[in-house]
Amino acid sequence: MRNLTLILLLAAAPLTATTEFRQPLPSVFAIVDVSVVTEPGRQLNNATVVIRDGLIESVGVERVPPADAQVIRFERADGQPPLTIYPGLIESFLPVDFEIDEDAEIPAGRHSLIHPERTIDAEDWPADAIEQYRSAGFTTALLAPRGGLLAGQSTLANLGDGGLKANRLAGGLAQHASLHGRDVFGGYPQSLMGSIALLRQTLADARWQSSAQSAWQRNPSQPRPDWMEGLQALAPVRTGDQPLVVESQDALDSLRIFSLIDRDTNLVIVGSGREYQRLDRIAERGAPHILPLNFPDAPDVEEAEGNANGNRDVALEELRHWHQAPENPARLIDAGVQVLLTSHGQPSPGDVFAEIATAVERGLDAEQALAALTTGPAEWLGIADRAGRIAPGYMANLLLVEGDLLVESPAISEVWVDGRRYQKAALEPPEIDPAGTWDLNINAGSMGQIEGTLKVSGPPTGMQGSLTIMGAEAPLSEARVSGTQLQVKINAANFGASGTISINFDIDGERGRGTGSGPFGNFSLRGERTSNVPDEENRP
Amino acid sequence: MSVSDWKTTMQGLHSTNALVAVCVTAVLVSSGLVFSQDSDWQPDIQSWEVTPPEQPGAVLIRNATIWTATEAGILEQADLLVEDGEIEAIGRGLDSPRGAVIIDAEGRHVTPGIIDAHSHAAIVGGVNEATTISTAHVRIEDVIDADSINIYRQLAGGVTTINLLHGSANAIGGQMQVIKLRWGQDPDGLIFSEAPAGIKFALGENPKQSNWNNDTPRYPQTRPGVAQIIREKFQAAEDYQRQKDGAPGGRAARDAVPMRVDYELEAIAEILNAERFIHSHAYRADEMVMLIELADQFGVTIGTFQHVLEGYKLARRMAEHGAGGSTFIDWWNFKYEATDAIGFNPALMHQAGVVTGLHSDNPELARRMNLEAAKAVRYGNVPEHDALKMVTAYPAQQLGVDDHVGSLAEGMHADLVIWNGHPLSVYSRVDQTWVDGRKYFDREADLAARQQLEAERQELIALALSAGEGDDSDEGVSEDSPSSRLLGYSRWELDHDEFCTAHVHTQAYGLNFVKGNRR
Repeated sequence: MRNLTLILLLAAAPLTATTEFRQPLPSVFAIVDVSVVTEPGRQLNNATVVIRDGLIESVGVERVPPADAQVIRFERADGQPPLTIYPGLIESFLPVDFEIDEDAEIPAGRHSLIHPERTIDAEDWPADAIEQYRSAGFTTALLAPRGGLLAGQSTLANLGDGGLKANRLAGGLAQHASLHGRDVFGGYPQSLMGSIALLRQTLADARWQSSAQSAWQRNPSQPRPDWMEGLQALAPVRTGDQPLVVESQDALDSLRIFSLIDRDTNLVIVGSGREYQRLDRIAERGAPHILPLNFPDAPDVEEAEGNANGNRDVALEELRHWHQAPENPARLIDAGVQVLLTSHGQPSPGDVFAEIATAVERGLDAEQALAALTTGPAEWLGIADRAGRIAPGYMANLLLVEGDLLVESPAISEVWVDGRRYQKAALEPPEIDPAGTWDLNINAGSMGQIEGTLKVSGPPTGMQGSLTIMGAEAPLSEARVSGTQLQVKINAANFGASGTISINFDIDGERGRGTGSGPFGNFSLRGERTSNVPDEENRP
Repeated sequence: MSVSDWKTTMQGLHSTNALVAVCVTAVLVSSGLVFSQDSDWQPDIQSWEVTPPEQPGAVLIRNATIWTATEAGILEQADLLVEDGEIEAIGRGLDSPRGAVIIDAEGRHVTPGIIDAHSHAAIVGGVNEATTISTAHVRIEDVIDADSINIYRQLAGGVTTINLLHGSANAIGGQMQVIKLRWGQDPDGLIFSEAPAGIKFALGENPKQSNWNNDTPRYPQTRPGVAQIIREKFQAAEDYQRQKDGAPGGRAARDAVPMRVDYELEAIAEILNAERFIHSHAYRADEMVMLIELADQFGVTIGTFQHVLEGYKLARRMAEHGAGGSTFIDWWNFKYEATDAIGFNPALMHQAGVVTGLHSDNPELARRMNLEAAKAVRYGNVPEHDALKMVTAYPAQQLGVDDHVGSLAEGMHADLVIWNGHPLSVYSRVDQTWVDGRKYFDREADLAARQQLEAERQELIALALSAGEGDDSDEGVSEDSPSSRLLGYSRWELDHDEFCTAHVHTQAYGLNFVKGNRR
């Protein structure tokens, strides 16, 4: 695919030139006649929020918008309540997975599961995920490396466009770990006790390295200690300056983590959802929890009733967990544990709201839930003076929602990051069925034409498919129909780049034309449907 | 009680307990402790739900037949007084302290809690760290599965202390952990804090990978190689200890590069310092002689040989060295190195002065350890009281905890079992099991709780039905759903020590243990 990259890069060259023209985009906005939840428990009505150059300039009731502001006023039907603005949500744990590089040379004395020195770099920016989080109302996230036993250090970023360059807030926020890494080549370790032993030795080695190096600096007339690359990155964890965030798989896993990590360490647990099972011990340690809301579905007791064993087939254990899991957040908070909520573990970040609604039904205080997604993480992440609230001087990170945010399915209409507005495009009812195979002719500017094939299948409300260009087939990360338009997105990583390729394709019968954009620049395309049978294998 | 007495008793038991036997079967069926074809049934009781039992200030057990597992032998119509978790007195007509819990044990037998010196029953995340020839730095203590239903089931078989061992995949395996079956406690609460440290070793086919279908062979591949690697590790640990001892102290230490801690060599050095004891998987006499000679050269006394099927061939040598023998009584022939096993092995080792115990190596067998002891009477006419010691006092000696458990005497932990009949009878069962003077198993309470559990189930099912959320997805089903026909075990509990070859025995039960600890 390097060829395609090259072609598209060259094709993009003239477009780059055009961006040098001055584009006087407005940078001052006044959102008027809205309700504003400035922070958990505080709401203003008939309020105006003024945003200037990415920051909130003012928020107040019945303010006169500044003269230079673009005024945003929402049309409301008679009696319809105003839209509500909330602080943008903060995701305390957005994992970025790192695969083990089979070809990488591991320095002597180091292990492929130990990477405390790793950071999130520009190339690791999870563009697709960030778009999903943003459309669920998240405007800031802790990007946490994941993989192995010591995965590296997280980066705090806003969730706007423009990659790490435009969004990075801070680096080295926390070190991230798990007890459950196993050597991928079948070597040591292959068991939980082996992984724990490796972690214990590594933490001891880091301690040793620090004291050995400084002793030798003080007195160089002695044999020089070996250097274990990477372990110096654990120094701030050891001094308690950098939190160590460890993912737990169940209640006993949490106790295991407590035993391994000494109390001087600033330990934070990514919870399992089963903390209620060993609540006393977990509360006693007092480590803050980043808590997923991974509540199980109800066990299938109806089917079980019908068969010979009766509903004994449904384990009481399973029934109990189903019943008690939604109380987990409230019980942890009641036990005095500091809880931050995460959408991690949900099929999609937006699914977290339904789970929060369930948890609120089962005792979680709604204000505390909101705090666990705004002011709580802002404080933990050291940005309480600039994020988590709607207040003057804070980053203009906010979301607009019809009615309340913490309901099963909140109608978030737009999200602002750093004063930039991301409207959620409302979909029109489908008027076409694009299912089939489309031969595409992509106009890549001065470099000419590229042939491609787009396959889509399924009903217009739930489509899937793939895009093939120059022999490389990539799955569509998103495919939806709005009116007569097919809108698809593809992860550009499939073609050796980062970011997202978006195509909007207007269909008229068996023909279509459209435009697209991606990391290589913009392009136009035409296409013709050659088959209504997108995928022979999928036919019954 | 002599053997002939016992036989008479047995005949009595045959007739009087026939009805009981039927009832026991019925209870087992109704409680789901039977094997059905395709059920994913899991146990109803969960450790985290259990409130650990209170410790009464005093407990007086009256009129029991007490098997002391000491020189005192078996006492008829005797009383046993427990105060604050320890045995205060044993004798006739003991006074009852104010507020004491009184148990009338007329017609019942009391024995020390059973001790299983070879178990993998409550380990999570793999029993073997099989990747390297020595994993002395790996600790079972880190992976105690306090949620394992085995703990409760073994209490129901009268077991109170088990030795959780690393598997036998490597010559020097991980550090073992002796635990008490304090069901409901968290892993720290299970640890038998007075127990000396120990470590698993292994000789023979497993460490040299004879039966591994492994693309990447690991050194060594021969029995002499196993001997060599153990010697080499001992020497490395000696060097390590020497360096440690020679490290500067006080003022001189301030600017000196400190010694790097190596947890593997730390553990092996502890062996050499008699602070950690070897419990070595072994079948054949020749390689046990090898380890004895090697240990003698380094001034080390081996704790036990585990399995020790050819122990009868070198029993005097073992006794002379001071190594215990922890063995199966009738598991044999399951692989080449187990062909010379005989049922008389425990009796012969015992006669030669070896501290001889019977172990389970299997969570199912562990529930019936009293019957393993009974077999020692059958094979070699071991006196009944001595046979019982093979699952109580002797394993306690082997694990170095005999000052606290394994026998009933003043000052010992109140870890004891009340049986409804002769403890070596197949017709007897456990009425109560006490650990530290707390009643962790009570058959009557168990039976009564089943109604409550059924009520809880019905309540939750009604809730699930009214929630109307029932769907066909597998979400919410624990990943630990048993993949075997053996019911009620999570995956890890079945993750059996394949290198102990117990999987072959399990065929006798028609069970299919999950193999493959190396995954």
